[in-house]
Amino acid sequence: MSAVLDWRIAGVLLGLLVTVAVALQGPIGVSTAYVTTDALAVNAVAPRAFEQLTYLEKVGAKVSPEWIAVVGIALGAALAAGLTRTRTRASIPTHWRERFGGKAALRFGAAFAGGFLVLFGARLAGGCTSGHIISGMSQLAISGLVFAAAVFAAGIPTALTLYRSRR
Amino acid sequence: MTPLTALISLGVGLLFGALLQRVQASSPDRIIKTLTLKDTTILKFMLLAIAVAAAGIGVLSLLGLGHLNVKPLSLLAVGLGGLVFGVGFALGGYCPGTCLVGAAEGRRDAWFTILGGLAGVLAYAVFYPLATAALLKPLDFGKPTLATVSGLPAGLVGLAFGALMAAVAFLLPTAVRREAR
Repeated sequence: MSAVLDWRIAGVLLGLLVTVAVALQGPIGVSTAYVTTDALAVNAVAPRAFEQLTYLEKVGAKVSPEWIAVVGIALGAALAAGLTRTRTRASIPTHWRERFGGKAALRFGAAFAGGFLVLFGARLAGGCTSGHIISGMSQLAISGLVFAAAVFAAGIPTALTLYRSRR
Repeated sequence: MTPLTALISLGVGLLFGALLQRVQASSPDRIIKTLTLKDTTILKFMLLAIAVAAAGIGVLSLLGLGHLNVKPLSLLAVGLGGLVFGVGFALGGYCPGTCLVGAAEGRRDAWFTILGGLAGVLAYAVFYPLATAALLKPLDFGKPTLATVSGLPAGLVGLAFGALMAAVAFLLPTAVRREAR
């Protein structure tokens, strides 16, 4: 079992990776790839609906560089977990289990709702943790600063309320 | 898209995914600990990454290099979107990138976050015409940066902002609130 990578090493490496990405072709983003996936799926299953959903049409039903990068994220994570023997079978986080118990269906429902809100919010804002916070703030974008402030302004009180430890 | 573009994208993605997995940003417990301020390690990691990248991109600007892509500041959309994102982040413990990493390393709940994300995007696509009129068009400030707002050269502001973020990353206490038990 390999230990978790130190945050200082990981932080410097990610900062260098973002710099190299910007030097070569552009900043890293993740959430647009979800739009591409939806666009590919809707266009294949219901082309009429695709034409009416201008947002999907705007992003386009074709594989983009960002979509390939996102496939790379999953592959890189699978490789790293395999090579360091840190694969897991976890399905319920400890904090969740302590507060809401071990029912898988409840956790899976919350994970689905969490994903729904995170991507809805990211698309409304125009980016997520990668695009707005890491890449955006690195480029000194005011939008990245505003997004980061809003995420923590809502995320901290929500987490404190949800995971309040029982007395 | 040229083969080289695809290859660079794949390489950047591979390294990004491996890094997120190795620092365990994909663990919802670590995200929950960050948002409950019990263990800010992931936040410190993010701040240091921003610090190094801001300085790196600052150097690129000084050399006249780099492919920047600054996102627009539609204040209502970015602010409201961030608030909605924050609630979902606390509820699920995943962001759009880390749920992919979590699923790839075997976390079963992460698959549900990915599915929820695809559903959320579809809902946003339906809501988009209304969002454009009500949230994206009003209070659209274009693409301001700390450099354009201050009127100072982007390279210098990048280096200064990088130094500031690095200081915050190292000075931020790991445990802001004590563990309850």
